[in-house]
Amino acid sequence: MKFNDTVISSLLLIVAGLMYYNAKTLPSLPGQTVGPALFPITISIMLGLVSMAILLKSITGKRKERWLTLDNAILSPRSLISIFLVPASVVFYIAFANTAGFLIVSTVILFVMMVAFRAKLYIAAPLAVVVSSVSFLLFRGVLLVPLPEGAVERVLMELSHAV
Amino acid sequence: MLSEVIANILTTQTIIAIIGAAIFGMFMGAIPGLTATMATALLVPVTFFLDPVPAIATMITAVAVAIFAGDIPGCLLRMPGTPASAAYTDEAYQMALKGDAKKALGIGLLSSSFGGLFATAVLVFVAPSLAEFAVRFSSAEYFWLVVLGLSCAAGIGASDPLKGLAMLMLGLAVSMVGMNNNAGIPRFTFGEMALLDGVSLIPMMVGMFGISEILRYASNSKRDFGDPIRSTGSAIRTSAAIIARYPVQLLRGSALGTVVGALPGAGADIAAWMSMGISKSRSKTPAKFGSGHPEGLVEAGAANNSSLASAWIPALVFGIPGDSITAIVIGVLYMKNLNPGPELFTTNAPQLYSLFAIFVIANLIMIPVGWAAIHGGSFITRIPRRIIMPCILLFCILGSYSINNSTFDIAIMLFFGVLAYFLEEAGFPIAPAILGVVLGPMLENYFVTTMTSSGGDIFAFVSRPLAAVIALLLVSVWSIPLIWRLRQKGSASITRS
Repeated sequence: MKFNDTVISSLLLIVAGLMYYNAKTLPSLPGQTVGPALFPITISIMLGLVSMAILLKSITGKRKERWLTLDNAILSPRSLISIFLVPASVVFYIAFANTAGFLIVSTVILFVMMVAFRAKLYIAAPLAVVVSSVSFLLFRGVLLVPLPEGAVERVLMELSHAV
Repeated sequence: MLSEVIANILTTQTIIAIIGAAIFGMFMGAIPGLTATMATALLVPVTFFLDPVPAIATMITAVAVAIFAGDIPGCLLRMPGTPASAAYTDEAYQMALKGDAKKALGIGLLSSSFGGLFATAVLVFVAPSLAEFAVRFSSAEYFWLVVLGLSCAAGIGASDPLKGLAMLMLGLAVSMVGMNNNAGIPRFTFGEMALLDGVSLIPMMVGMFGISEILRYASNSKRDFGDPIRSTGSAIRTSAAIIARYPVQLLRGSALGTVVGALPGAGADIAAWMSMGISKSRSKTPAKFGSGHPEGLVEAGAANNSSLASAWIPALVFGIPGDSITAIVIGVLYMKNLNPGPELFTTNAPQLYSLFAIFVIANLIMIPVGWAAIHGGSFITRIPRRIIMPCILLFCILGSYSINNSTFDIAIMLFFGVLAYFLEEAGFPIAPAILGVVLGPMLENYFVTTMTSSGGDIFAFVSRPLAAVIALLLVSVWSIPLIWRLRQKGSASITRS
């Protein structure tokens, strides 16, 4: 999935413009030779100039590319779903990990992604549980990272305390 | 100090860290698409929980081993595991087709180990003397050094220098976010409290290297590697005999890799390509290149690993990263209170020399781990990516979260991952953006310090002889390629007329 240089450089030009106008609003401090706006303004101008150069080069260049080029492989429904699932999994984790807990959310993500990438169901299901559990033990148990806890984690903790 | 160095290394934590990192690096390097840089980025959350020496040891070892391991799929599948192996993939594959896979990989392993040890020796002897010299540097000299680093960074991995420059500017723009500026004024935070401390570098890098690669795989998950060639051929002993036939090439590759690695902006892949080119042009049998000839393998195999150790010279002495790997390492050094700079050589000398010793250990441990990997090479390359990629996605999430225990960092990772995917597809390289983020705050800080201490006198940047020399060096770095191009154009037009 490739956007051509005209699209990318136009977007960079917009970023440079927004950065410039935002930097212009930064206050200057009395008694300081260099204010906090100098660097952002300089960088925005340079980013703008470089983006314009790329834009001009792509408009005037002999090689014309479509605004968006898609590989044949990407047009298959499976590829489209796989691509969509990558950011969706991360968003799913951010949205539900705190309520459902790490183990359930990460197992679901691993299982769904493996199946989307054509792993067999009977391989994906146990692997998802194992990888998720090992990651939890490593990060929560050994590295003491406070991973989000839900009902499953609480039961496991109580069980481990009881043992 | 020697006893302190030995005590630092011979701890259970360090030994486990080195062995674990070697195995991790072997897997990361041997699976095409997973790079040594990604291995380093994924290791950062783990280093967070280790003492300084084992923390850095994991990175040194994983990278050294991963760069060699990149040769394995290159040789058996004709698909380099890391970009640093791309230069001689065809040569190694041709040897594998002849039934000499183990011989080719053995040459790669031993020359990599030698190259790494050669550059470590240079690092041990050159870095302290350079640090003694660098103590004399003021903020003006550092400012020029950072500009020099940035100038070189723009050229990394870009087929079009303009795209490299655009990515560098984008990285510098990201580095401006937050209130970590001399005035303490929040910039580009959009009212978001989590951005007051700036964009977290690690989630950003994990996203740019990890998420973008997963997206690339997702866009074409049908891509398969085919069956690897059976790892046949003679034992590793014969590889040593072949290397012994090319001592000049081995030394030349190691020396060139060391020089290239020490330059800001050039890394292992450039070193390998340059070495391969030199090897062919200086060879007595250049016609044999491309048909499974070991000469280039010896030279380029040594070059890519030697560049890894020497990239640490500017990183440790000046705090200026030579490539994206050392950019990550510098972040970890700061996290572990081993702030890079000439003072590091006096204030933290035992820990620093422990790191040097770990370079030696990493390049030696590579031999048994690599030997095992060569014998199980086809097994590693057969691990399906449909299983690996979802696991990497989970590690990306875990790694980004662990730094600050913040879900906002996971969102940062996702944003930069998606951004990097689209930019890379369009030919915009990622490495300059990373260096821009690392060097941006330094650039501003040295500029403001120089201006403030001189009372706003812009000539303070060239008034000291050392600063003027580095500024001149910078001008020549910019102007020589321009003059060269103009002369080429001039001679081309004369030829046409």
